[in-house]
Amino acid sequence: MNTQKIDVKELGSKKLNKRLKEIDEEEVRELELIRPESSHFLGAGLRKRLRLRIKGSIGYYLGTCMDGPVIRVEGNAGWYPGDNVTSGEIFIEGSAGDGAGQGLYGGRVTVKGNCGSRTGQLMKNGTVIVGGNSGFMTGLYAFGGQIIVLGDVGEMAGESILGGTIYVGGEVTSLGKNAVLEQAGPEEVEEINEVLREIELPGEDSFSKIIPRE
Amino acid sequence: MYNIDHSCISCGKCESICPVDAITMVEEKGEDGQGARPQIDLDLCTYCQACATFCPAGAITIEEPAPSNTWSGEKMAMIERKARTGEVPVRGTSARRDLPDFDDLIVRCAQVSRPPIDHYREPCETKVTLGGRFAERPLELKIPIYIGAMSFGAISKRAKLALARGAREAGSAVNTGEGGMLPEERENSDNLIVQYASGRFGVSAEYLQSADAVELKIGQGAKAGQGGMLMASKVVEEISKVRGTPEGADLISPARHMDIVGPEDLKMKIRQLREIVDWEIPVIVKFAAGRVEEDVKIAAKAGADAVLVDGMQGGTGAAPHPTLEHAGIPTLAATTSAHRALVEVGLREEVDLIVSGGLTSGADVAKALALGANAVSLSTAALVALGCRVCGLCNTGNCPYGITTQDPNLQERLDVEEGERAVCNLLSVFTEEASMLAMLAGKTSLFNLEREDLRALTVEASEMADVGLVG
Repeated sequence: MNTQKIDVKELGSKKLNKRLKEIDEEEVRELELIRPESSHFLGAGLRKRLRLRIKGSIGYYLGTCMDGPVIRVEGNAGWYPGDNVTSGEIFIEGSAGDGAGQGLYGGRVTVKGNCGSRTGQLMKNGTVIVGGNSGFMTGLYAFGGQIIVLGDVGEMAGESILGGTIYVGGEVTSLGKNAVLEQAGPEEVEEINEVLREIELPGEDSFSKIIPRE
Repeated sequence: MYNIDHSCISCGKCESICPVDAITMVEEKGEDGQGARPQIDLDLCTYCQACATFCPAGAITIEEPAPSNTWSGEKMAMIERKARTGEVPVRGTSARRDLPDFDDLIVRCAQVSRPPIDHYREPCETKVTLGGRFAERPLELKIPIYIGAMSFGAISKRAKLALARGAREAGSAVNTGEGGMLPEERENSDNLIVQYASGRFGVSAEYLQSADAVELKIGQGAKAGQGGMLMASKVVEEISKVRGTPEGADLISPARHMDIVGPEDLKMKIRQLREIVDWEIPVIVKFAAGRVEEDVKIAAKAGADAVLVDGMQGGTGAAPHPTLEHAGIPTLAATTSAHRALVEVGLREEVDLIVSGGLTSGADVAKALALGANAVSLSTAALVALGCRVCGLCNTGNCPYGITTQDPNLQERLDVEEGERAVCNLLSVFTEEASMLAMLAGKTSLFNLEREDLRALTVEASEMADVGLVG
């Protein structure tokens, strides 16, 4: 199995996305993307089981609609990383802007640092993990899935939430319309910590959880 | 005018309750026996309906000869409904009020100044290519009419199949609507437009990449400026599977895309969709007609291949009454505004214009094309072809014609093969009607129709459509 190195700045996102879609998964499984220069839409619509390691920070809509890839960002990400992902995994070592994991259908999006607002909005399933804090309206219009925030969540958490769960290790500033706050049970805490161990993030002894009002 | 029927029990309550002493009980000898009957002096009567309302036998009906326009029966009934239920009335289909439309225009026939083309002998070009601005594989249709967005959920699977097959037979296209893609819809369509809307239901790379065009829905004419909700009762197992959502849950589409709140966001979204589909297929941006010129200019500058403007006569599976009747711009006016906007930004040749909303005939199609549309999209007319009677029950899920229901028993009333034939016929006849009008105006192509071929029957239509007045 070969590892290919691609210069993102030289190629540009349009050509890069085309090339990624044409790669033969049997020949190349890993790619190192250098000089990402905060490019947008990287990995858009990619439906291959490739492993991408991005050597720097990335722009908007990382991995939008991807189905299968595993992406690691050695830097920060702009808005909407992991938008509408069907399956696969994104791990951002730094922080991310607004809307991380928006519209997620499956897979996992992890931001080791902090996130902007509206994390996991419109998500239907899958998991979004935030190692630090998440801004206001986390889980806006979520239909399903789980959001795990190890730090604090901002104002109006779970605004108009219709399904799914937001687990919070830190403080909840305030709740949005249709959201209620409860304490996560020991089994839920153990399941969360198991996931966190898998991605080498520290666990918590307890979590509160935000769910839709009955 | 009033009537006292046989159930009158001669109790005299009406006489005692009348606030203007317009009622007198008069002894009468009729076929059904003898007794006092009310006689109403219509010169005194104010039509307050107290006699009819409080009659213990329900024997009195009384109608005002010249009802108030401000307080018409329909408006009074609506007020009573709101007072009774405490809810904003919701129904399906479209605005029912009288709005300016394409009937306010006529096509000028050619005579000697230019010769007419013989519809029965000579050909007329109807093929259209849409979305060729940036897309590598634009949409190529045999006719400039396609079936608009109606989701699986809002309408039944049988209706979806009939529309898809009918459109294919006619050389046209069909649109998935917001509810994801039924595999059978793809299998039965040559040209399938997938919708990308604010709820992102059923959206995936596979969904977008298997399409022939993507419609980015910003808004919808019937519920201008609002999102939507598919009631939990309609979210059966197959619908939840296609949409990727929990079964039996209300599915809400926000009024705006959570990641599009301005022109730059729209530009990013269009580019995002292009990257997902590898720049292969067109991106159509759909607006509810409201601030038409501003929105169309923004979409054109943001990189849309085509813009669809949906006038306020457009239909829906469910919308609040005030939105249906009081929000949006009629399709007639919106068509001209959209065309003008594209001209003003210098992108008229690059960006295709599609219009929709209450188109009821091939004449409407011809006039829309003359006003600048490259194609039209229709939905309610196609449902009428399937048997819809535009009763507005769509939101209840109890459509008696099996069209806007998920009830398997009701769906059985819709014959897919008959529906397919009806939809194909409708599209073909509308095209023929439009061609007929183009040819009598001296045009050998539907797309040569122009504003000068039209005249307005009213001053209002003339102003709205920027078309000269007749005479």
